[in-house]
Formats: sequence, C-alpha cells, structure tokens
Amino acid sequence: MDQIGTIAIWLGVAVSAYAAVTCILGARAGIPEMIVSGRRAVYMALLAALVASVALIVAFITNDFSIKYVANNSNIVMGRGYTLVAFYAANEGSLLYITLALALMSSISIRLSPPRFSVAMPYTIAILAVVLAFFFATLATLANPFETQPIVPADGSGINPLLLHPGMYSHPPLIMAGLVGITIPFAFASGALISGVYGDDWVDIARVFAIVMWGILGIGMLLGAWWAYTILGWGGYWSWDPIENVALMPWLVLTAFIHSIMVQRRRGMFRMWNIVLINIAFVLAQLGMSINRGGSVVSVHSFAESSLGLLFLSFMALSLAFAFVIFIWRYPRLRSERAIESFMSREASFLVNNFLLLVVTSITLWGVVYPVFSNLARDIDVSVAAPYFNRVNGPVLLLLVIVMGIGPLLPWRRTTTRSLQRWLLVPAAASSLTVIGLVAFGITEVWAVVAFAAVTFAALAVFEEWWMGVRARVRNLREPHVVAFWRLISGNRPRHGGYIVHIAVLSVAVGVIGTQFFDQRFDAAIAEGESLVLEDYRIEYVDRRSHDRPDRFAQWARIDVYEIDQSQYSNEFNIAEANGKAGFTLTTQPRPGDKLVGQLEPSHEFFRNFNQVSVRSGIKTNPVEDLYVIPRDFLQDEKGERVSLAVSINPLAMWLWIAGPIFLLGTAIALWPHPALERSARRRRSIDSQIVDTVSATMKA
Amino acid sequence: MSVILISLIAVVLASGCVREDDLTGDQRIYQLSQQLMCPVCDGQTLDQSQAQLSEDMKAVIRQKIEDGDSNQQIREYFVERYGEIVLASPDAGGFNLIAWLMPVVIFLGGALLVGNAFLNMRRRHRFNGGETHNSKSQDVESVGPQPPSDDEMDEYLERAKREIASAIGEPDRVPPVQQETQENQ
Repeated sequence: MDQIGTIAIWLGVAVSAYAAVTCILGARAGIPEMIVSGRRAVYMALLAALVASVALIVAFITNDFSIKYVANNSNIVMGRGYTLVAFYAANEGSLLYITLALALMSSISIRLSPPRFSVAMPYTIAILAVVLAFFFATLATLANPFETQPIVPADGSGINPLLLHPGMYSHPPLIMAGLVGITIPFAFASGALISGVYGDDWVDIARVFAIVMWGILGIGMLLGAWWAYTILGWGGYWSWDPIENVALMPWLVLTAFIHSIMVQRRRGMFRMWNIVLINIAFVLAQLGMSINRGGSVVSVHSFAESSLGLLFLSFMALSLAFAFVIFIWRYPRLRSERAIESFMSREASFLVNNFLLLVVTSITLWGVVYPVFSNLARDIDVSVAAPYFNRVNGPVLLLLVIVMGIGPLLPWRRTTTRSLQRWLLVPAAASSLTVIGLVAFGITEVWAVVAFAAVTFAALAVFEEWWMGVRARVRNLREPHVVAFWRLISGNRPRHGGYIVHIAVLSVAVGVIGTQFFDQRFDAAIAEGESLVLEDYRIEYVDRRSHDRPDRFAQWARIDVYEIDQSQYSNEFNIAEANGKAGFTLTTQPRPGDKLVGQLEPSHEFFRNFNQVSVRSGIKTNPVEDLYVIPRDFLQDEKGERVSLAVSINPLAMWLWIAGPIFLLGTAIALWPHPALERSARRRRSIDSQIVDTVSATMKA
Repeated sequence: MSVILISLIAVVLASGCVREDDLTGDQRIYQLSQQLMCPVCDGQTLDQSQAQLSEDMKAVIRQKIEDGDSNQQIREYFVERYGEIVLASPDAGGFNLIAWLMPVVIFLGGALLVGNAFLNMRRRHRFNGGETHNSKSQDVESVGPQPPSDDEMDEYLERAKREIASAIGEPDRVPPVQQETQENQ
C-alpha cells in the first residue's frame, strides 16, 4: 500500500506540474491541443489524489502499522467507522485530504466553466495546477503519509480522544475544504485578469464557487461551534481561538465579496475592488492553512501540528506577491463603467457592508498576530482571547446588523428621503417596541437591548419586503398567498436566498446576545440524593454509572431535572443571595410545585494513553433557554462520593443551531440556477464591456 | 420617532451600567475565570479548561474574593506569578495600548478611505453629468437601464467584431467571444 500511495503522490506532482506548463505554453503559442491536454492533466491529478487516498484508507482498514501515519493515528480497537476521521486526524493525512478536495473541486469547476470563458481558461487551469503541484510536492517530500518505519509495532497508539465524535465527520473536513476551495474563485479571477478578457464574465462562475465555499465554511464553523458546545464541555461555542479566527476571516471577506459582486453584476461597478477582495480571501485562506500546520500561534486546535507552517507561510507570501503583481499590471483596465450616485442607494450600502466586514477581518487579524508582535517587539508573551475580541468586534458586528437591516430597503442608484422613510417606518417602529418591551421586562443591559433592537430592525426589514412583494402579487395576479411567496422567492433567487441567509445570521445573533449577556452559572459538588438549585431548575444527582475500558475510564452522572416553584424555596434563595451565590445545594426533599421535566446523563471520560479528559455535557434545551450540565469531576474524599457539577443556564442558545438549516436553505436558493435571469443579467451589462473583451481577445488572437 | 428612540436609548444607558460590587461572589469568579488563561492548556481560559491547575486557580480566586480583593488586584496577583500571558486580553496600558488602539485606527482609517472613495465617485458621476436613461421609477425591482433585446445585442456585437477584425486587417479571425468553441468541451 505504501508504495502505491507514494507513487500516486509523485504522479500527482508530475501531472499537475505538466498541466500548469502546457496550459501556459499552449495559451501563449495558441495551440488548443496543448490546453486540452493540460486540462485533462488536472483530471489525472484528481485520479492520483484519489488513488493515494484509497491506499491510505486501505492501510487503515488493514491495520498496516508499518506505515508510520497509520500507527500514530489508529489502533486495533478503534472503531472502523473512525477510519475516515483518522485519515485527516494529523498533519500528513489532512494535507492529503486537502489535496484531494482541491483536485476534485478544480476538476468540477473546469468541467463546468462556460464556453464563453474559454480565453481565460488556460490561465485559470494553470493557477489551479500550480497550487495542486505545491500540495503534491509537499506531500511527496516533507509530509508523506505513506512513510514507513523499520520496526513495525504490534498496535498503533490510537486516535486523539477529542476526535472521537460524529461531529468529526463534518466539521474539520468542511473547514479544510472550504479554505482550500477559495483557490477556485481566485483562479477564475486571476485567469481572467492575466488573459486580459476580464469583462464581467469571470464574476458569474467565481460567484458560484465563492458561494459554495462560503456555505461550506459557514456550516463548518457552525458545526464546530455545536461540537464545542456539546462535547468539549466548554459551555461555550466560539472562543475566538486563532484557528477559529483564521477560518472566520476568509469567510468574512467572502461575505463581502458575494455582496460586492452583486454590484458588479448589476451595475458594472467595483471591478477592481472585487479582484482585491477575492485576492484577500485567498491569501487569508493560505494564512489559515499555514497556522493550521503549526508554528507561531497557540491554539486548542493543535491536531495537525508540524514544521510546515513556515513553508505554507512562504507560499502565502508568494501568492500575495503574485496577486499584487497581476493586479498592478492590469489595474489601468479595471475601470468601473459607472459611479455611485447617492449615499442612499443599494450600492452605497454594499460599500458600507464591505467596509465593516473588512474592519472586523482586520481587527481579528490584528488580534491573532498581536501576541507574535508583542513577543518580537519586547519579548513578552501575551494572550489575546475572547474578552478582547468581544469588546473590539462586538460594536462593529452590531453596526453590521444595522446595515443588514437598512441595505435591503434601499433601491439601486438612489432614492428619495420620503420613500426611504416609508420603508423604514415598520422596522423602526418594531425595534422601538422591542426596546420598550425589554425595558419593561426589567432588562437593563444596554448593549443587549440595543442589539435586540438592531436584530428586530433587520428581521422586520426582510419580512416587510416579503410581505409587500406577496401583497402586490396577490392583488395584481390574484395568486394565493403561499403561491405568491413561492413565486416571489423563485423569481429572484440570489436576492431572496440572500435574505433567508440574513434571517439565519440574525438567528445566530439572537443566540449570541442571549448567551453572552444573560447566562447564569453555578458550580457545586453534590452527593447522590442531593440537589442543586439554579433559577427555575432543581437538579438532582441520582447516581453514577461507570465503565472501565482498555483505553478509557468512563463515568456518567444520572441527573433528574425538575422545574420548581421558586416561592417554595424563597428561604434558600434569600440565604444564597446574601452569601453572593447564584444558586444553592440541598438534601433532596420534593416540595410542592416540583415537576420532573427531564433526565440528563452527562459523561466524563479519562483516556489513559493520552492522559486526557473528555466530557460530554447534558443539555436540556428549549427555545427560551438551555440548561447545561457538565460533570467536572467525580470526587472521593472525606465527604464521601460526590460529583462536581458546573451548571449553567444559557438563554436562547437553541437559536444558534436553528440558524444552520436556515443558512443552508438560503445558500441553496441563492445558488439555484435561474438561466433566464442569468442571461438577462449578462445582457444588462453594457455593450462596452463586451466590446472591450472582443478587442482584447482579437489583439491576442 | 427618532426623538422617542434617542430618549429611550438614553434611559437605558443611564440605568444599565453594572459595577463589580453589584455582582455576587460566584458571578465574579465566573467573570474572572473567563478573563484568565489556564497556563498549562493551549489557548483555553480557566472557565473552558478541564485541567487541575485551573480548578486550583479558581479556588485561589474564591479565597481572594473572600479576602476582599478587587478583580484588578486578583488579576495582578496572577500576572506576577505567571506573567502577562495569563490575561485573556492585555490590559489597556503601556505597550499594550497598541493592541487596543489599533482597532480604532483601523476603523477610522477605513472610514476615511471609504468616505474618500465615495466622494470621488460622486464627483465623477456629476462630472459625467449623471446617467442619461430615465429613472422615473423608484421601484426597487425595476430600477436601471432596460437591457437591449437579444437581437439588438447580437447584431451589435456581430458588427463590432467585424469592424475590429477588419481594422486589424484579418477579417477571418473573429475571436471566440459568446461562441461555443470546440476547445472547451
């Protein structure tokens, strides 16, 4: 197996290098056969990556511990189901996975590229092939997953226990694929730029792949958050860890990009800017992969750690230089046809949206590099974690939510103050009502109230637009409401898909505001038969179960959850408050009003080989709040056998996860092809840009 | 309307500030455990980590709160023992002021750039005398120039290609724009 794998990887190096060279030569010399050959070589690279991947999987299944990577990342007792996880559990395998993903997506994108893009295609293929060649070459020389070891161990050392979770099938591969996939829109933009035929056609295909990668990254991050919340026992879902940040940054820039290309598609503006955006997204994705490979920053995600960080950083610097040079070279021809007319226009709101998204990106990048900067400048190590990012990014994100509300209300080009006022009326009234309602309910956290008002505003802006559209159709076309809504959405899919994604983002915002501002927490150790009370819940520790396995010692706490009538416990609540406690413990004696509402079984597992604890929380969830229980430890001391519980109430947490399906739905609708609309969008572009293309193509021919 | 909004926000702002001494002891432990890093775990705060050391550190925090120390005193105590790296976000003072000022600089600098770009575009638009097509409709959906019909467009492009080709003296080398070419199949 190891030989098949190694040969496949070297073949990958050869064919992708060949693809790059022939495509460029073919385009320069005007020999179509060479370009065709180069394109097919990319398909061969996909085949090579596939063969290598299958070889590695077979090695895992057959427990071929002569291969170092297999021995280090699996063992005989590991469930076969986790073979795929072990595949990308560490540096070499994840690099092979990335290569496979890029080869697959490159082949698909080349296959799907429209004929009218053919002049630029050789350069696009060449760029994809160069990146592929880089990955293959790194695999072949510095990180070969098929490296053998002279002494074959009887058993492997096993997979990292934190990775033993179904979430591992989705979160890491999605993030890795999303990051490397940004190469594709970048290659289309750069190919168009180099060829000189960059009218606006590259935008169509780059848009599709940018949205796909953006969707993949978005869902990948959301799944990661869900995983951290349910398994890692952090109680949190997003900790602004460097690895999270480097996935977030390209996603933010892609968000800016997919908004800003709407302006190019519709109005022929922002041409330079869109190229700049996709270049930034690509370079940040490279930064992400470089930091993932280990090196300069400290992170909880240090799974794929290696010495390759610097190599990837150099490749990033090269890409940056490349992007910069071709941009400067083609800069004079990237003029916009039109200019922004008024600040009260859709175009201007996109400009503000781009500005805010890039501000969040830059601040996040600054937070990621500041520890390195501090170390270099004065030799003192510092940490930059959640409290910093929450404080500096929070206000900017809030502004983004507000712009998200105003933007869709503004028409293209310009509007009158009167018409804007008319549109603003409903959302503004609704958000004022929200403020009044929250204050009346006694909620006084300023930022939370403002944030909820902003969310209401943005949501109402979308609903208002849907309602007006549906009403117009019902009135004029006599359609039933449901049909009218369906036709409204499918009549302009990119736009309404986008609005659905807005709703998903607002749902995340609701979850974030709830959990950030209103979480309650109480830690205590209780014995069997004792209870812990926090707010409306009484948590009774029933008993402990345990299970001793070869690789781990697992324990579960069985917990009954009761909803209580607080007035029955007023005495205890008063004492707790006097002592500065959020909750209290007591010997269980059911009181009137106690109602059993659920049972939880959070677990605590100790992995001997790794000297590592992995907890799984018990969560009782509803749309209003989550009751979240982590067994910190099982204690044996003079007070007897107890469990140390960290109990928290996380308001509105469910909305974070509800956002996932909505996000997917919106993304799918935005991507859902609409041939007639596409054609009219192309025609809408001025004849001038097509003339420019025709001229430059003729000059080349 | 805006008067109501502003006064509401003012009321909320006035009533909303939470001070340290308003918090219970447990809340302060929780707060501090989110502000301090676990020194032996990679990138986790005390609150997130499962390590014994962070349990011990939380016990120290509890003790110090009972002794009447302020949050700042407790933070300083840990900085003395573990160095600045124990703080989850650098204190805004001295060299670390840069960490906090940079976001402001980024925001203002970006705002300046965008504002400038916007004004330039506006100027260019005015200089060009605005666009000529009619825009009487304020409707969101139908603003913008009407696209030419397919026939008009094809005819126009065809003519343009012919003229360009003849201008460079090679009438039979019409470039493959908008045409299905064999090469890409």
